[in-house]
Amino acid sequence: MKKIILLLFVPLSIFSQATDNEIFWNSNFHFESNSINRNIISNLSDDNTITNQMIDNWLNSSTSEYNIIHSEILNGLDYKFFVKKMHFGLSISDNNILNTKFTDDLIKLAFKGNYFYQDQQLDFGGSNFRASRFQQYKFIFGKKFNNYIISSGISYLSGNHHLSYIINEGTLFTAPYGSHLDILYNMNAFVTDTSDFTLFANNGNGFAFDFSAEFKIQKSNILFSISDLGFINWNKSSVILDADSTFNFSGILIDDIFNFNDSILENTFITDLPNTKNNTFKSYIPATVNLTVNSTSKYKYFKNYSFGIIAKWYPYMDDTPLSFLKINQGFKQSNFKNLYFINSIIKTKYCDLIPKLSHGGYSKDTNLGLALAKGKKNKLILGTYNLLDLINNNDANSLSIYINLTKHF
Amino acid sequence: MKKIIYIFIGISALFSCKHELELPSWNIDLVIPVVNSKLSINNLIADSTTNINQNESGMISLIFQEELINIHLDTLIKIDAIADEQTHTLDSASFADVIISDTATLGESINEIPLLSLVLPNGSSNIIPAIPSIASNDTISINASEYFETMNLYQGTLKLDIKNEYPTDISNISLTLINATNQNIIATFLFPLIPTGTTVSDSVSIAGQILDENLFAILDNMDVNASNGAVLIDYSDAIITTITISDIGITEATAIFPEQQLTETLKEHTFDLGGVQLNEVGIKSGTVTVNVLSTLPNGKMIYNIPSLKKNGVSFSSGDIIIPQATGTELTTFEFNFEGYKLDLTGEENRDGGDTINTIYTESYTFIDYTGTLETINATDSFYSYIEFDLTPEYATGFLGTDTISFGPEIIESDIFNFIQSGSIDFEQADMSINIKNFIGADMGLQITNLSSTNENTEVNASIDNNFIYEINRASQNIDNQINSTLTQINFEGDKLLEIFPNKFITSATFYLNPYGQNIIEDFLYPEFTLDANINIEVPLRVNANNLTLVDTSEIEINEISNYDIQKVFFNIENGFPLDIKLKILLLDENDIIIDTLVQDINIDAAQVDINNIVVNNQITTVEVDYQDFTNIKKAILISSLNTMPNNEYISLYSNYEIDISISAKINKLLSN
Repeated sequence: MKKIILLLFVPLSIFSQATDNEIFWNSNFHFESNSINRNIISNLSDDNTITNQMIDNWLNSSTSEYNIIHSEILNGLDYKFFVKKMHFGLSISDNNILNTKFTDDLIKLAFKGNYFYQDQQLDFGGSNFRASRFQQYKFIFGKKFNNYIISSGISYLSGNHHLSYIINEGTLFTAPYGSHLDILYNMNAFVTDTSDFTLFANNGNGFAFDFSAEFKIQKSNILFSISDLGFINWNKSSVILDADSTFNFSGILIDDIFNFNDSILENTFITDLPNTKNNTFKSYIPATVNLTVNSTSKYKYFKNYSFGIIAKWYPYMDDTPLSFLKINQGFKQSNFKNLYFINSIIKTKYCDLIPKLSHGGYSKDTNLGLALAKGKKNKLILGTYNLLDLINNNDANSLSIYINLTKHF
Repeated sequence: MKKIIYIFIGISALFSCKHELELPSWNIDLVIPVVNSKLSINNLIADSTTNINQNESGMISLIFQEELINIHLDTLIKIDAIADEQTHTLDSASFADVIISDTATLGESINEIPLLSLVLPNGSSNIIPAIPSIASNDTISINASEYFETMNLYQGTLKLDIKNEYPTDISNISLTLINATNQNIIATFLFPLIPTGTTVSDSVSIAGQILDENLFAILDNMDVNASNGAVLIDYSDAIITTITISDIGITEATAIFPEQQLTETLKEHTFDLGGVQLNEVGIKSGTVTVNVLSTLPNGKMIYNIPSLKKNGVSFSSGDIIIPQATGTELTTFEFNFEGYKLDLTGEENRDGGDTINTIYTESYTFIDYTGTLETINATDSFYSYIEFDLTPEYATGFLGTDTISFGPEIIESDIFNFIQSGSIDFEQADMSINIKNFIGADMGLQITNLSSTNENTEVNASIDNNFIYEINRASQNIDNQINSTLTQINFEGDKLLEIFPNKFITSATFYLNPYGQNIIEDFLYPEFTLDANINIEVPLRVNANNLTLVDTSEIEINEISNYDIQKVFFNIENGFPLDIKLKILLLDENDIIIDTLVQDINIDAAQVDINNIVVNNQITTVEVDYQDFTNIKKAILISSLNTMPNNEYISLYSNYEIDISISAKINKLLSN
């Protein structure tokens, strides 16, 4: 009991010395794709029936080898307080992440079927689908030194649900008139316990780490941070699938085709399904690596500007030990192209405008973002990373809105 | 600050408005293989009577074999006869000699004369005086009840023996034998002199006499002659009288009969087997039945067949006890002779040497010792006969000469049932009649008719109907294993087959020992006679012209509700050098045609090289709109074949196949 009181007393004692407090609310909806656009999405949601024409439109709009869709819905509440040269922070957030990459051939197969692709090989190798929902409880500590600020954070992750399909290799060749199918697949799948689909079911636990370092050099601040570097261990009720096979299917071989009984069709379709097993598995959450330079200039619209590079580290699964190869693998498997950005703060009479020009990300596109900030001590920021897509209507393939509400006291 | 809060609430409300998510759905079109099958010649010609052969290059030949002729010769050597019929009556019964003795001592005679015992005391030595008529009308009782009560004789001899042990001669002995009951004189005897120490005999015939069990012997007179000087007087000296009745032949008697043999019949019996001359038969199964009717009491019979042996031991029935018959029903005694050998050469060491078809038997009948008085008369008899019913396992000897006609025999054939029309030209079709002969005799075969026929046409085989084919005799090795011979009659059969016959008609004549008796002994095992079959070997090197085949298949398809099947594809990879025009009719359970699945679909022949050997298969796909097949119970496949190239003979090889796969286009509704 004394220990508990002591433990509670320590932060309170620190808190009581706080000279600056900050509460930060963040809601972030982010949808980004390099192929699917608003027109397709609206058709899907309005008509409730996906037609071949819609799929053809989707395929025609795809310009790269893989179609990427990334969606995040994040709601979080941070509390930070400053004591002398230190700062402490607690945050809690609810995270919903969907990240998928798939080939055009997978779209063809999944939405149109193989009938239209006879005598062709559909390749869906390299496709993956990942979806996670978890809560993050973070504690941050930072300290300001002469010219630099170092902070770090540790998070507890409460995993609710996870679903991932990783198709390392996958091809389907349909012979003319479907006389035979050649199938090759090498895939992994991980699914958490499906017996409970409540939003806050606890099916796994994990940890994440943050680190940041900010340097002041002359008039510029250089910030390097790694955030949300972590993983979740899902419980042993999870279902794991590991399949690697090649086979040719020509139908059920029968001796006497002249005496046909459809009882043989009970086993017509592929029954040689890969085996699944129940076991624990580890999944990673997307980590963000950020290198930003903040500086000032004399130019009216670039009095305060920043530029930098953001990378994501998000490997598919825990299949190799930590090494440079693993690190490289994580960057590649994040489906995120290094984002180069530059933004500025333009102060106006009524509010601050924060334009941001970026290139890369999930859409691998050039995006213009804009945020509106109002207030100084208590600030509301409402913004989007994809202003052009927001107003582009049918051809938009990204959508993001974020709201930050900060109150100092 | 308030504005900030209002904006925040508004945006939150925007996010919090939960739009009802309607899950989209979409249709996908899949084409997947369902079944596949490979058909080779083996599948196309699925006939249990047809074999498929291939040469070293893989060219197929069809081989059809059918039993042609089946002859049975077991009746040739079957032994089914009655033998040894015999009847025995009472006159053959015998009776043992009756011997009765009487003893009259010297002492008894001396004591009968008053005071003579004082004169001639026992043990003294005196002169015996002459005593005339020492016995006069003395009656001696003779009791023969031990032997009989009465005996009515048709023959017999009564012999009287008198032995004089007196120390002096006796003379003028007169003795009369009479029945005690009726005083009938049986015999009289007169002996003028019986010297001392001698025996005299006399016998008379008593044929026609009736003897009682009680007889009197009346000693009419006996004189004692004076002794020759003094003699020892021994009262135990006696005159012994013995009556012996022998050679008794009874017409009727009430007596205790001794065990005695009534008859003994030792004779040979010859079976009538026609022209067959056998010297040995092994018996597979069969019986010998002794049939007996006896009115004699305690009858017994022994029947031996020395000609019949098993493991070297001759057959003997042992004592067959014959019950005394009360009616006319015979008593039968059956003996099983499975595994026996029957020697048909007659009696061992017979005069004139061995013969054929003849057995030697020994038959004995007895009356057993009766034990009690039994009456037997002349009407009593003993009747018996023997029945032979033997199925031989084999026979050796000479099987005779015979002519056996066979047919016309119709052999039904369904090997061409699946051909509806068109024509086929076989480059070659070898037919042969193969005769495997297990008979140890020379044979000849004349095929008087061999033809094939369908409803419209009959074609005769190119064979000489007058020629007699020689069939070599089989032989036996030291272990009696049969070494059969094979005779093959070859002829061309393509013309017989090209009419697609449904019947073969044959008739033939077999000649057994057409050249007469051979120096080599014949043998016959009825189970292994002659196997004759017709063999057809057709190399599949053919020229087919619109050869139309029909096949009916059973189909069972239940409703498939999970999938929306829109089309069915028949993918046919033809590896045969045959153009096929295909038509498939669909029938319901009442055999009514309800649809035509495909009509006149051409399936191209495989490509061939300069030698008309397939080098590339041809793929044809037939697309059919799927319909409700649940009513379909049968399908009729009508295929019209033409060999390619036209008008050339094409060989069919074992590696030729038609690969048929069925795939389906399925439309499936998916929902997220």
